[in-house]
Amino acid sequence: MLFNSLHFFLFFPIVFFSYFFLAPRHRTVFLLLASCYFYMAFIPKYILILFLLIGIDYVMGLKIEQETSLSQKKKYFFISIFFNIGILFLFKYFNFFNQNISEIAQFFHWNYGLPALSLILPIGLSFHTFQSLSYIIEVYRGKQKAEKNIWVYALYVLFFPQLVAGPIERPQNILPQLHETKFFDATRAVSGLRLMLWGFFKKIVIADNIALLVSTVYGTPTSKESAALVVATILFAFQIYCDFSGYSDIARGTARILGYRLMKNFDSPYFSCTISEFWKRWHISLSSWFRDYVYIPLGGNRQGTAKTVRNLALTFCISGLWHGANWTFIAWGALHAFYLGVSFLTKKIREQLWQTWVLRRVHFVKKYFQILCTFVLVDIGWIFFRADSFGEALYIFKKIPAGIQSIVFHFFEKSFLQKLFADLSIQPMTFILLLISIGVLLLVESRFSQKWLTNWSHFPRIVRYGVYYAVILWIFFIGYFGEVPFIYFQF
Amino acid sequence: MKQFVIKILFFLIPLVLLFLFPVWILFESGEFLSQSQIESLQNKPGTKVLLGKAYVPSDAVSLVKIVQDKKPEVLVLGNSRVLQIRQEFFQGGVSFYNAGGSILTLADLNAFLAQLSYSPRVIIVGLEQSYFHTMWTKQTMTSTVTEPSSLTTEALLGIIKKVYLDFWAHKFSIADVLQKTNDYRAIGLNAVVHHNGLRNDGSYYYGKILQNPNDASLEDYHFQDTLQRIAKGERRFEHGQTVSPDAVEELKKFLKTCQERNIHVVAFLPPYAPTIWKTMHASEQQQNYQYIDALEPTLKQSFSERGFALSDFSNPTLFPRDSEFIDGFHGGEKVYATMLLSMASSSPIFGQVLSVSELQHKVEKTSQDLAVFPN
Repeated sequence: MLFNSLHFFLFFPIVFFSYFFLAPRHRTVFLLLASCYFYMAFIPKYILILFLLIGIDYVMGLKIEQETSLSQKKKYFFISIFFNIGILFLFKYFNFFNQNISEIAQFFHWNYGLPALSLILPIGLSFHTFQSLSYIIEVYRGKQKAEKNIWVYALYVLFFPQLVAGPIERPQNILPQLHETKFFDATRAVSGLRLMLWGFFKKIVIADNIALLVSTVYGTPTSKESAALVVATILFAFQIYCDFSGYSDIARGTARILGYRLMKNFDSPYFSCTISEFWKRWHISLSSWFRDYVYIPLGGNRQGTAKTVRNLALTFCISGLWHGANWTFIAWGALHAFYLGVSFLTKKIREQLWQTWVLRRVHFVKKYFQILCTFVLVDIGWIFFRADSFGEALYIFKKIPAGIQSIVFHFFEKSFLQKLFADLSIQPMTFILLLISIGVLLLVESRFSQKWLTNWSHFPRIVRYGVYYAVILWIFFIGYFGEVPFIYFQF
Repeated sequence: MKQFVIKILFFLIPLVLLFLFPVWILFESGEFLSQSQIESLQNKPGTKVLLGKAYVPSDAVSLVKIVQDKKPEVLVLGNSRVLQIRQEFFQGGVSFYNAGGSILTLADLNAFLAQLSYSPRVIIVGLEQSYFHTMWTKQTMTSTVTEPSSLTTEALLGIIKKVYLDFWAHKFSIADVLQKTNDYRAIGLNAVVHHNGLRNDGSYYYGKILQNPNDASLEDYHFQDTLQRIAKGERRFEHGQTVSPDAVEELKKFLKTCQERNIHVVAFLPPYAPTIWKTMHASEQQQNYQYIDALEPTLKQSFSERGFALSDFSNPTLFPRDSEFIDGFHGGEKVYATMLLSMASSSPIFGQVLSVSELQHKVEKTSQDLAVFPN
């Protein structure tokens, strides 16, 4: 079930009213059933995979806690890891590794004939697998008590607002909340609705409109002018942000209405001054997961420069692989590891440079310069993330300088603009409205705006309602209502 | 909770009203009528329906099914350039249906015929010249879909949006939507506002153009759109020197099947407006449309050896006035009536079904360039 569907607009009010009218002792099971229904709207039989993993992790969690012997604890821990990673591998990575091994075997003239599997990837598999792993790791480390109530544990995994695309929650945040009795709070509900509205604005107005344009350009990059490739690449940065953060906002808003707090997954990442800061603001639930369960256990930055760089490379390559079974995603992860490695190695030099006589005079633009540089570096990474193949990514990357040059020198020429809009398959007015929408996004999500937005509820009702109606009408008239699934659904 | 729900409901009232307005427009104009409801109206004795939906697509009921149900003696096949042929051209008692618009490639002719379990007495085929251009594929687009399609929420939201945008752009007014005419039952906003739409017999009524042929807002006013197509060599005006042999083979297959099923075929190459024909044969375009000039000599024998008739009206010598054309390549009713009279003179079988003398009289007496019959 997509959030931006009539099905959800009928489903959620029913869940909301039923939830608060039910006696508290029935609410966990009710939410669980609602979550199962939500998930089964995609491919019903795949819920059995979740049931299997829930059963295994629930039992293994209890056994880990009950056992005093470390070796036994480890055994149960690895059984859980095996099943979680195994199922993820089978559905998501088997064909990728199989194909690569097959190509290597062909190169060396080895006999290798394992056939590919034709399995549809269960929706949200990567997300709820990581959430389950988070639970079992925390129980193993002794930082989380094993959940005794199977319905509560099942709801921890299946909770529908964050089931298919996160945020990837930690058990310490969610499990205690699932034990609490929630009472309806109008202020909280309004806040949740506001967050959902903002999420729909990002998804329907910005992400889905850009998706059409980017698909046209990235679908046949060799037939497009370089300027179109540049514009599509820049806009893809906003597409992926708005798609994913929009989903997260809708998820958090939905959960908030029901009384649950989900973690903030994005914190204005394109206003980051460094790549390191970017990763503290982008997909926070996933990056913190990799930090806590991969990077730090590998040694983090505590074992010297060489190992720090190694740990960064491994963590980000695995992160890239998590996003998709394709070399382009691994390249994307490796590129970010490279950025972070260079950043780590050159930190002192850069700080010294800013202290020189020349750059001290322009210190006031330092922040904006850094934001721009960070955005450019991240956007270059998005080329590899979005392109259909490594070859196409390289082709687009090579065309960027020429594209920028042609935009700078020909932007005011009518023929240039006509060709650009033809390549982008977009009407000029639609493009302008899209740019205005992105402008509104940047304005609202800047740190500057956050300060006065926290006092939003104190604004006069006429102003608040006027803005809500304006956003709804903007979504209605400018938004794209064809079916464009959330990008992160494929993960 | 109660207060919260009441506040939300009050908040939603203006939005509901916002959605109600275009929904009312769509209901009032008959856009939501289903195919089966439309067919019931069309089959009601004495009810003339003009079907011209602008927003809500009709159910995906194929023309094949309609023809199969009606089993007309005289059937018209072709693209939009056959839609002027109407029931009134034929003898009373001769059942007729115009399935124009169904043939986008020549393969569609064979696909359509293959799905008919009965054999019409006469098939009139409009052979769009570009069917024979080498770039047109053999892929058939005729389907046998008969299930009603459901309107998705996303599609409905898009339609509601479009209604608003068109209303604000003054493409129609509330008074337009409320207007009624005694001549026919208009279904769909295009029929209600512009009087454009399909008649009961499948032919098309170009109401908007007929009522104001000099409307500067018309897409092909002074043939500007057609002239642009010629200049760019696009949208059915692609340049070509030779006739596609694959297309000829496809047509021969169709003729052979018709001969085997005892169906008489009268075919024609539809006319271009005089200005357009002149432009296509101007010196700078001389070589660009050679394939059209080669069509009649190439195809003639395939028809004559089967006793079928082919008439080439591409060069509009019979219709010297641009004013008799709806646009650059769609003749008006008078043009088509004149064409069919010419075809009847070379096909006795066709002459038996066409109402020759009455049609001749109407053509001679009409004072209008575009119409022979009212409505």
